[in-house]
Amino acid sequence: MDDLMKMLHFKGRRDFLKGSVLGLGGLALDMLTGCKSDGGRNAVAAAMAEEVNRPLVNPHFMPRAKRVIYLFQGGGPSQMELFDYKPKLYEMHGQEIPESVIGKNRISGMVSNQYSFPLAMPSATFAQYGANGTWLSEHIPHTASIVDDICLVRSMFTEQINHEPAVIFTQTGNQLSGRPCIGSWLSYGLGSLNENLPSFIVMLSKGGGDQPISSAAWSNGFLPSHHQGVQFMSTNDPVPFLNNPAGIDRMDRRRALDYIKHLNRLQNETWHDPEVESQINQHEMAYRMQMAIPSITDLSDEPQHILDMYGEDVLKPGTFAHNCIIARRLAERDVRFVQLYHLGWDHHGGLQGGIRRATRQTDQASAALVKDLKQRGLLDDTLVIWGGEFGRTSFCQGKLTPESFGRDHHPGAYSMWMAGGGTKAGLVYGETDDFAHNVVKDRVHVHDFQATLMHLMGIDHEKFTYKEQGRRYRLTDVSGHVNHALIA
Amino acid sequence: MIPEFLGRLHPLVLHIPIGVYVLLFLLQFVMRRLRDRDDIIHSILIIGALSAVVAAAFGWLLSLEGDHAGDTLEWHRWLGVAFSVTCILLAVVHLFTVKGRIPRRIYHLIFIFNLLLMSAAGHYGGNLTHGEGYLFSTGASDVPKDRTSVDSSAIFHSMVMPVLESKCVSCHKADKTKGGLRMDEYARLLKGGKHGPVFIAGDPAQSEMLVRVGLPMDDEKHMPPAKKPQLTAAETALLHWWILHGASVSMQIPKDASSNDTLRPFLKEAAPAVPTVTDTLPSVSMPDTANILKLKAAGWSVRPIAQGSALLDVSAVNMSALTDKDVDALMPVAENILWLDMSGMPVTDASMNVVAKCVHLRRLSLKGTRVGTDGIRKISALQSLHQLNLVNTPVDEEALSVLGSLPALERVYAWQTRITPAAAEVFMKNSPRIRLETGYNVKP
Repeated sequence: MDDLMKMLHFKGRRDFLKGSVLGLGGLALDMLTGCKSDGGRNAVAAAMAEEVNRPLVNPHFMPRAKRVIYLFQGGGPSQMELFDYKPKLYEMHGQEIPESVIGKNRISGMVSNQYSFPLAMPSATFAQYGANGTWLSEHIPHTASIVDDICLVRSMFTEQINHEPAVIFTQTGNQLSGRPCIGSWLSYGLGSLNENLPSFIVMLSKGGGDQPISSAAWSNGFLPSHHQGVQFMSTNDPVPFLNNPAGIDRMDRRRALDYIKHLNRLQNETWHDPEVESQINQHEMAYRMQMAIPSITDLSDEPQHILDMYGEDVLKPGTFAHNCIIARRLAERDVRFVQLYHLGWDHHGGLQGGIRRATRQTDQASAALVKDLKQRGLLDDTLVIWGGEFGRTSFCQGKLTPESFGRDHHPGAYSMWMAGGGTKAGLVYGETDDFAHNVVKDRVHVHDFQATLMHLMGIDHEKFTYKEQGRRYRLTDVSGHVNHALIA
Repeated sequence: MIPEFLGRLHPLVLHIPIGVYVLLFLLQFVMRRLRDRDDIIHSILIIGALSAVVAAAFGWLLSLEGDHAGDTLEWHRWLGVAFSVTCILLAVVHLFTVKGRIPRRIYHLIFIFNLLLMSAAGHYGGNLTHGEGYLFSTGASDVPKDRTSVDSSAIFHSMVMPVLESKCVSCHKADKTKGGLRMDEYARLLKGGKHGPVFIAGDPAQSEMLVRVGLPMDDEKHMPPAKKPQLTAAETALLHWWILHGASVSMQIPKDASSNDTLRPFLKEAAPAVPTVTDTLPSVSMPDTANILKLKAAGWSVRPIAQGSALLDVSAVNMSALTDKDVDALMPVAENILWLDMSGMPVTDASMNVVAKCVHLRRLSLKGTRVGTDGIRKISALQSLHQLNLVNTPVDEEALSVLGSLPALERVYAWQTRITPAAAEVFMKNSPRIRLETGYNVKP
């Protein structure tokens, strides 16, 4: 036996044990369905089944949110140009950021050779909106119109300063790729509400910024692979190869799938590999999606006044606006977790133009999504999240000129907002210093945010674990506290 | 290896001298017929002395393993040594007694003294194995110690110590001091065990007791031992928190303990738990599984609201069609339904007869159904309805008077109905607790 065969053999044995334990769990199910089985044996089965990884199936406690739409803003939106009004920056434009503020904070390799850190005046004017008079930037007038419906957190901070690890950290709770992301955890833990659609769908805006995004951000990690995010493509045909080829009708497809399933099952009698089950699940899901997807992506039943809400891009596949309206349609069909990735917030230079472009692409549609969910009565149990992986520096990256300047990555303080799903509408939470550099009040760590998200979904983040490689993993790793101040 | 093996034979070997000297007692004081057979008695005395020495030596080896320590062990140790010495002495004295150089009465005196020594050593040995008070215990738990003197507002006494007592102290106390460590008092804990201190204030990661707790179960250094009750995650978190914050004996429970996830579970008084939406859930009996399966077979999505809850979240999201008659299937579980979603289904006013029976219903979505004002009138007795979604239904302004009388109602969605924003304004002025959403844009 060569090493590979040996490894496969042992893997098979382990999974066989797992399989038989699940089989015993099946006995417990028999009990549930009314077949009387011996109670003692049942208790043994239950005790054994507790040892292996099992999805929660139902939340730990009554959830506030049933679905999540996460509008991820990749690149690091500048908090000073959008949500965190700092008048001092206008006064101190061009002066050095005080030593006492910057302290020993980590700065990125892109500015570490800079000898001077001049503060840059935000390229935006601010005004007060909503019942609380919240200061918001001129760049986001539509978001300003929903300020009483959102829960704005100005005191986020993270541990990562570069895009990839920071995105992965926000999505999986760990800076290195390989762990399951939020959507996969929820898909695995709570399962799908709509049996014809995946419980976790990912959509990327086309042609965002310079920074790529890796699919590790919607990876299932060590969870069974049918819990990875299903990525819709930015085309008219969002799920490739979903349509039957010419000459094959739906019955042919059914028969083929049934036979493939039969072969897979035969194979699995030898190998007992959970991934074979995943494969079967995915085939079945694809088959059901053949019917469900066209009704999602066909916007012809959307009246003009709804399309107008989302903005002029709404009919162009691959735009953020288009993805937002698709996200709403998915939420209406009870898809558990929809994640949008919009890139293009990484303004190291030419920030004035960059911020205008990015807000033009996202502001109207983000606000429209919240309003549209609200008027349909979906916002109460749909959590909408808007935010990126970190913030930006108040000092200038590169040369500060009147025409152009840039800001570097800044993990120490940034802003994000949530709406619906049990969050406190109209709340503005947390405070940063006069330079939006350090959080001075009510810090919210990424793990706290993740713990709070889980709590809103009815899950105790500390109890929801998956054992792999000899230890139990959870989304929030070994930390994170539910922030009850954010919850209505 | 061999010393340890011999040491573990101590509990076996120690019974030999006990038997021997009890036998001798019977021979010399009870069965008088044999009392003058000094040759036999002398042989037995030599056997007894040898076995006593071996038992004591093995006992000494066992004590080196360090599982026990403390006063009880010391008493047992030296009484055992004294006993074996007396056994030798007894054999020698007997020799001289036979030769007539020592009066027999002296020999008898030493013999009785030896029996007392044996009993005392045995008693302490029994206490070591079975715990103090085992002999006279009635099976009930120990008499509660006087705790009036301790500071009950200190974290150590009111939170940490109870954890230690329930999970650690049974092996780390005065009469069973495994690893030379006692955890039954703060001062002893501070002193540590034979491997050094068990915690370093402020540094949980380097604190031996937490390191041990965190080891894998199959590691022999894992604590508590694999077969004993383990610390819960909350208990481990508490010890971690206490050590991180200085591990002092006097640190008081902070005022904000009830909002501290680590400390809250250990608060004695019914701590004002963080309010959750589950607080006021109605209690109903578990739904019949057969009914649930029937609903699922019909295409309904039926889920408990949370693990172990009898309340249900029922939805028609996976159904392609639903008639008023189909809704009757909900009847057997009507009391259990907390949330009901029939969005997009062509059900009409008639279906509301069943919905009216869902007395605990909190959220109802009739979005896109054909339920009109007459249907709303049928559910006017729902006392718990919080949220009602009427988007895109034929409901008109006449329904508003019904809505206003629903006692728990907080939010109504009436976009794309015949209820105008102006009427909604008036309604909300009259019923300020209800928010009536008519949407952001009405079809022009």
